[in-house]
Amino acid sequence: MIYRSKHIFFPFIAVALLFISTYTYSGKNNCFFEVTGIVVDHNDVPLPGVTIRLKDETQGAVSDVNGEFALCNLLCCKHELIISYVGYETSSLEVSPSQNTSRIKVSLSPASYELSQVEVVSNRGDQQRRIESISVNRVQGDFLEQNRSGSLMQTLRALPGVNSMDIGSGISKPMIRGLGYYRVVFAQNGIKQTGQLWSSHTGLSVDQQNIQQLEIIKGPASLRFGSDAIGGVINTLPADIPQKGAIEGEISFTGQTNTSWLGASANAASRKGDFYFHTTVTHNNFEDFRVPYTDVFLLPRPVSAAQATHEVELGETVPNTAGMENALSLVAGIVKPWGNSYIDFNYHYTKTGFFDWIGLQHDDKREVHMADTRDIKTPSQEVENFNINHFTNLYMGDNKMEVALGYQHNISSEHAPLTDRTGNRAADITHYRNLNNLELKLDLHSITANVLYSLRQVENHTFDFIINTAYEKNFTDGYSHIVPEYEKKSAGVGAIYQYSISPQWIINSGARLDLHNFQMQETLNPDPAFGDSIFNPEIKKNYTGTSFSVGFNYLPYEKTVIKLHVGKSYRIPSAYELGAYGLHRHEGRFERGDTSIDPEQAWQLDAGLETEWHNLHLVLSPFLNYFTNYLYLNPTADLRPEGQVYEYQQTEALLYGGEISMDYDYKERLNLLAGVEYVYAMNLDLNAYLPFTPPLSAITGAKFSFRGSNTFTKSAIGAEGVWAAAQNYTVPNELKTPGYVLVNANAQSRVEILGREMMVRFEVRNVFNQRYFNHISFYRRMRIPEPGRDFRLFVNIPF
Amino acid sequence: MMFNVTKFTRLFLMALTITFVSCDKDDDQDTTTPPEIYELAAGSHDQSTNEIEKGGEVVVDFKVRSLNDGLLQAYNIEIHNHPESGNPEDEYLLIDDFFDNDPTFKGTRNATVHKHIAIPGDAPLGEYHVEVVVIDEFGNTAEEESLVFVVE
Repeated sequence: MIYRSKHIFFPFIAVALLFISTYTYSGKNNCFFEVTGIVVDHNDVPLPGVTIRLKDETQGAVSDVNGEFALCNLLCCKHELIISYVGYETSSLEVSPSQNTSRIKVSLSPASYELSQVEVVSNRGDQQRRIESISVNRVQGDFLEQNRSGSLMQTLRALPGVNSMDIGSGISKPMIRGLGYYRVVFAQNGIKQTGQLWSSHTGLSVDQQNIQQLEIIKGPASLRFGSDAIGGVINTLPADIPQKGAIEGEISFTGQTNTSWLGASANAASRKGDFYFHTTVTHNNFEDFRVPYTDVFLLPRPVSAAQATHEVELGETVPNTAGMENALSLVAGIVKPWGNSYIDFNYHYTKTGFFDWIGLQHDDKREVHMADTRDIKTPSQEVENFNINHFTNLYMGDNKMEVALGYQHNISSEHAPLTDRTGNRAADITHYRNLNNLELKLDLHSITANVLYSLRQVENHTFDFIINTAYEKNFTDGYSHIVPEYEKKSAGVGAIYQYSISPQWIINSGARLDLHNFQMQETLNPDPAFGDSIFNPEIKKNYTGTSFSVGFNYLPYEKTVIKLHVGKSYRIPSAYELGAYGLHRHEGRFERGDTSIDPEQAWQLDAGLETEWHNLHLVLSPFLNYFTNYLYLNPTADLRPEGQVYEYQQTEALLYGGEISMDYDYKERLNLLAGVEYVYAMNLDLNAYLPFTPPLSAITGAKFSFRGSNTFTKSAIGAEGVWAAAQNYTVPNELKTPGYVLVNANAQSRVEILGREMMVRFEVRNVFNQRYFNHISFYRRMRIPEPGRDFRLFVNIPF
Repeated sequence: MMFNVTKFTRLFLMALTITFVSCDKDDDQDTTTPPEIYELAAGSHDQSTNEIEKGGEVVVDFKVRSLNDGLLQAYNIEIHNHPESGNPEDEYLLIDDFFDNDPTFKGTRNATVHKHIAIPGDAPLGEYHVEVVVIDEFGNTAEEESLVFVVE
């Protein structure tokens, strides 16, 4: 314990200093000097709001947004500065007029040594967890680096309660505590990403290499994020502002054997005076994924849980699941004593092939698909996402105002073999075949404006006032139809209040009101000879959403928090739930919306216990969600040539469960961890289950850190076991999924070569090449197992 | 104060216990097991051959039983060839009919289906796939497949 030994010497130093200072003080009078400096964290990131005071005196200062501070009019004698910040080790520093006292750099290290493999949460995050009644996890770059996987959610699913709805190797969607899809908001610094809500096979449009930190809220967050945040939020946070004069960057390479994945990413950040910028460029390219051993693939209709009948031998490769990703992001900002302001531009493009369960039944198509493992053929998906956001943070004394303006443009296209059933759409089919078999194109424009005013000037009382406005307009194109063109306007106001009654008790509460206007255009059938003449009627609807919550935190001992939170959240129906009409191609079903459907309403109870005993850190977080109205897709007994008809319906639902996680450090060398998560989800009207519920699962891990040598530092080896129970609580046409055990192993080290400290990480996923199914994976219903053994190598080279 | 803490901890633990225990439904109605299609055959009337001449008729026979607590609802019979182009649009369909109002099937738990399907004189020769899909009241589906050959 390095810091403990420091404490032992502390009194001696202090006493010695006191003698010296008393002595020098008596010698010189009426002389003053000035101390200026900067406070940074262990990563050299400036820390704002740090208290710097003179030991045993009241004089002091607080670092500004750049981490800079100044102490004027110090008497000419030796002083001891005490530098303290929540979540960091308090540091002390001697200053005297004889030394250079301008631009002193003070580096603070985190309060406790964290080595956790599964959850590395920053100490600023710890503070947030202590004072917020909802379950908030802050995830830092270290965690993202050490768990890096094919897509952001595959990286984050190592966190208890967080799951990834995977669509092959490169795309994924978040699921939190069994709620996913429309019920989890993915936001970029508070601006909700709208394009990912199209379907269960439209992933997040985000470059994970561009994320330095993010927060995960498990449970209701409608108060801060409005409609849709009923299940939780994943909110990426801005990267830290570089230091003055800094030019820094990193190049990273990724190689993975299972998908022959090749990836490269480069980022650079710099600051000159008050101006700064960041940029990240990423490219990833991967082949079809491989499954454990040669087996006969069964090709059923994906909706059918029945015994599959099309037996086709495909070997170890899942054809046409290759993909690629390109991303570019640019941030340019200015930082001033009043705060900072920046523009954030992101471009993200993915192209992914889909397993062609229809085409593979034809011998000739199967040969084409299996001939090339890197080629992306139809059916495939292309998603292009642009966004440009402008953020301004204004510090007004203790108070702060954040203004966020954003524009997003998402173009999601699906390409698939087109068929003309009646011969009436010959012109259409030629037109769309020439557009690379454009089956469906959804073109969504969104504008967001958010204002957050944080009032902090009243001691023990904090107030946050929120205004959110958003506008969405969707255009559609393509040979097929599923969702109508629509226009959505929404505006919301809310207030969040926190009261620290005593050092032990904190109350959190809040209320919010939102108004939504939804206008959907009528869609007519282009081929009246086949199917209904009107796909969906024109509708104009207004929805009012209210959310409120109250929670308290009890902090009986220094490292113990007990929480209880009750909230009411809502979600307005999506364009699919209201107006879907058509084949949802890769879901293998025909979907029909219901214009009379009501918004979802939920009452949510969350509890939490977090405690630390010696080096054992324990977190328990049970939850209970009662939906008075829950929207879901229910299979009907109607079959159309395109597929079975599924209708959006409403029901009462109950979801409960929780997470337990434990983390133990032995002498800073060995780290052991364990986590368990469970969700039980019921459709109360039908007395049945809800679809896509993740099974009971547990993760255990061990990590051993070596003492470094000159060339290798921070070396560690680790192993991880993942256990999942069988999921037998299913709905009609959902397959039951057997349980499994997986083992992963990894080794990492920092290597110094030519004065550059490289980070090298080697990982083996699925060491025993276990054949298993992931219940919430997109390919589960097609009976495609998860990828087999994968060797991964990550290299980061800073410059 | 101390009393309150203990009381709270006890309540908290109780809440946890309730959450993590008792995962079984009270009422165990099975709504998810799909129905079973068995004895599917397609061919001549006595099912002695599956080679049928153009202009003749294919007879499709199958039996279905519900394996859950619900009733059978409807079935679909589709017979198509696999064209050389590999393009599903060029498929020749002998039948693609959805029977959602068959009184011998709808609302029963066990059903026997016997259907005659005519083969037009211009149907291409070769292998045809016979696909039968059944659906029950909960929306569970089952699918079974067989082959017939259209010959001169």
